[in-house]
Amino acid sequence: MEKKDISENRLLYLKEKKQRKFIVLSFQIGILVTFLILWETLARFNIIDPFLMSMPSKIISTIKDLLLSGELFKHISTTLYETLLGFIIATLLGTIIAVLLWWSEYLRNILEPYIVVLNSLPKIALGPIIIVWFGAGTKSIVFMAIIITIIVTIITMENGFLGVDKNKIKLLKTFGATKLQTLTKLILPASLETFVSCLKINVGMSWIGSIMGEYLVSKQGIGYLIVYGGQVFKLDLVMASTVILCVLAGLMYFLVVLIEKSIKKRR
Amino acid sequence: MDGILNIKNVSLTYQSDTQETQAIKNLNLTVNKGEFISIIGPSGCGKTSILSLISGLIKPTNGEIFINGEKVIKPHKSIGYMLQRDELFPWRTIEKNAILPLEIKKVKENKYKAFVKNLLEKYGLKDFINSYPSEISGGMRQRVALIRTLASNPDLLLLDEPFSALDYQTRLSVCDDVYKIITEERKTAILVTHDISEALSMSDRVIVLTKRPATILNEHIYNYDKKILPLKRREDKNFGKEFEILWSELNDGKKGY
Repeated sequence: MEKKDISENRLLYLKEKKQRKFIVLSFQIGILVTFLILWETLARFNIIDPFLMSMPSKIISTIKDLLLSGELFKHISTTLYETLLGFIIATLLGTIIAVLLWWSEYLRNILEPYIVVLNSLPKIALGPIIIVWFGAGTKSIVFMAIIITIIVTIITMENGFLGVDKNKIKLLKTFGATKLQTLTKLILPASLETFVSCLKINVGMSWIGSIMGEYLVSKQGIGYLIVYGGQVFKLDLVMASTVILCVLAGLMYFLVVLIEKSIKKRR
Repeated sequence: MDGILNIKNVSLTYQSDTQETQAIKNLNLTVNKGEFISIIGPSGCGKTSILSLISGLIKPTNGEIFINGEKVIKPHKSIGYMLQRDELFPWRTIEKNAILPLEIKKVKENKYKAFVKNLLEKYGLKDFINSYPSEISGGMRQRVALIRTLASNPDLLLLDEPFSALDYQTRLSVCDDVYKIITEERKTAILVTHDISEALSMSDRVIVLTKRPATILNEHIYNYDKKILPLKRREDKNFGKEFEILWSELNDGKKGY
């Protein structure tokens, strides 16, 4: 075997792969840049109404103003706190409930219709009830984030637990394993991937919850900025807040992907 | 009561929403220490159920099962059960997989761990102790599965078509490996299979079952030299004849009795 021949083919393969990656990336950036330039130009020449549509330069200056006045940090930290708290509590509590449902078939059968209904119910409908119960503050917002995230967590994790290979459970039984041992030695480690994809879903869910919560009741936060901006027709502020939201949600998702990569590496 | 395993008048009936199915009817069997026996029968005749019964995973509807004179009511410590697939846990290394039964049984003594490690080394897995299951071949995985079965030093091994998930070539060589390990470690084994030549090449005794509800149709005792490995045994001059006897019996069994 000539090593040179193989490496030539290999080089070609790697080159093509690199090219492909480059093309994808340039289109991704190209679309964004074109979109921003088009937006900016159309707004400058009043082809689209800058008052209704805002424009990239104004969005940037709005963010800068928010940053300089110290407002930005306050709003971001408020929303981030609510989102993360909702995310963590819902993920942990949801997983624990899923474990209980896996544990007891009776419990699973009994609670099934309730979970189905709760899953279908638009959680925003509970808004007024939540405000009455938890007051017009952070508690209500966090609760909203939890209730939106937890149902999905329960369903995803329960399906993951129940989907673990029956033969592996049989194997543990032949060793005389207890239910707790089956859980810790098999079900939980086998569901790690499900858990990571659940985390990914939950990033989106907890943001929906916290922003929706802020729409209902809030004095500060990104969701508050969006609602406030809409009410006083400051579309620059609305757009700026949305951009900030995109960045934050993207970062949080990226963080989960990092966690996923470190887990995959260890396996 | 002699023998390592005594099955006395065992019947098994399955219940499902739509019907009641009798899987096993009046099964009687005694297995002696050091014996290698195979159970063959038409597919779906309840072969796996027999192993589940012996291992205490399910309870017989009627009758009793004794291991070393002790009645089986739950998974018994002197039994090692090897399933169709290796069922190695992908997140555990080969060694961690092999000592899993010790972990479950909370065996703390290091001598058992050393025993497992020794087995891994003895049977060609020395360099893969810290590898993960996805990094080794199907044949090696099956060997790890057998060593895992041997980890808690059981007296009786139950093998449920342990080679069926392997390709033909691997199957023949793993068959030799497994046979060698089992005879060298002086274990008693019950192999369930639908492969006649596999049963014939490994066993001292072959039990032929009828179709469902399964009961014993016939049994054959062979006097092959235990030192001859299965692959070699297939070359024996009587092998073809014995095969045909079992083959026609199995077909009769399918037709009913």
